[in-house]
Amino acid sequence: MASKRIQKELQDLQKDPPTSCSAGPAGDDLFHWQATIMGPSDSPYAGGVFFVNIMFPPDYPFKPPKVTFQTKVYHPNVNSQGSICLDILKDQWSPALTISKVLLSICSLLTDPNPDDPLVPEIAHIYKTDRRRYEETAREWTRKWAMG
Amino acid sequence: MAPTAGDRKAAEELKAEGNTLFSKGKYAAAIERYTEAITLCPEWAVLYVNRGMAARKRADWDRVEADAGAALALGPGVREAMKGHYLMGLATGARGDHERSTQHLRKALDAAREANDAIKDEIWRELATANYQHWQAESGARRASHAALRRQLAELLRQNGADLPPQPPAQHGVSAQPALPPEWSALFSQAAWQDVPSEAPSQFTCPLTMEIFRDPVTTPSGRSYERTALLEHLKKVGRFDPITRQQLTEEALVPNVSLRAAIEVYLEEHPWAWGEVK
Repeated sequence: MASKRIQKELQDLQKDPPTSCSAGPAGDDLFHWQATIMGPSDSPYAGGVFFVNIMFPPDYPFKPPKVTFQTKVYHPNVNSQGSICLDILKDQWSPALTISKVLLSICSLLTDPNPDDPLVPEIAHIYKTDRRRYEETAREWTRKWAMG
Repeated sequence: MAPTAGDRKAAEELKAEGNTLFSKGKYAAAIERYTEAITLCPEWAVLYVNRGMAARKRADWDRVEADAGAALALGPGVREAMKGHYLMGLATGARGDHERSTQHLRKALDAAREANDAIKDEIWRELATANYQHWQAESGARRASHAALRRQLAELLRQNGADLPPQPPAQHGVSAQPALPPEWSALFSQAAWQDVPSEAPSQFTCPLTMEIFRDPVTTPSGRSYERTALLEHLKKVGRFDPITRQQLTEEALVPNVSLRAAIEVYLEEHPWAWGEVK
């Protein structure tokens, strides 16, 4: 079922692409995709283009895809390896979710970090105590790693 | 002459041997055993069904068709009738008789659903393939006849001195359809529309498989899912409704008979959609 379902998702993405992201196979392997996410305009990531790596498990959609940032992101829920702390990619996964919905959730996470369930406690602390510094650093990282 | 009790017993042994050989993939040897059994008990439908199943593995479609026909002629029980129609559907399909093929597969599917036999998914896929091939053949014929009509019409209009739009250039060595006045062109496009594949309505597709439903079941939250996919979800992911996340167990599932019926009407009217099912 996995490859048929992935193919359907690909068709749907091509037919009706979400405004702020794109996704598709990275090469010949249907189970390995690359996606791009545009930094949300109401966030310090605005103007950045973030590359995301997607690996589908063989029993997709009964296991969540593995989704990691390839572009460096300064964010309380994204660590230096690009791992993302997002409930729907872990224990809240449901086979009714799609890559399109996962990417939209990542967009929302960029706009609204979740500092109470952080992957990088230092960034979460700065986010909670010194919002301006967090925003400045996030903007700087975006300029440095996600532009041009 | 009715078979004696001894004949019947010998036939049963031969059938058991045939079944063992079949499960080992030794189809020719299995066919021999069934044939011997048939000489002893020529009115025992199961023997023809089993021999047909073995012949199917060897793609010996004449044999399959003859055995399926013999089994069906004997007024068999539900399971034998189901398999008889299934084999007949495959055999007639193999020689391009899509119409008879789909009729038999349809009967096989109804019987398999009634008996809730696991073979129903396999029959459904074969039915989808047969229906799709039937549509391909028919739509191809329709396209050819429309093209011929177009040429005739263009010729008649030209003879009447009508002002036709300029002829489009040939592409890849194939001459284009003759140009017609827009109102005629529109009529032809309209006629061709029924054969243009598009996308099945989303309420006819399972949110898990993203394919058209085969056997939809409804959860207490009112959502429908493909049965096999939902059962896999309950086993592998968790006991909850995939969309609403309400707690869910297998016992709570109800077949969505009306959705299935609506889909069958839809497929009837949009035969290209069988291509999505197969």
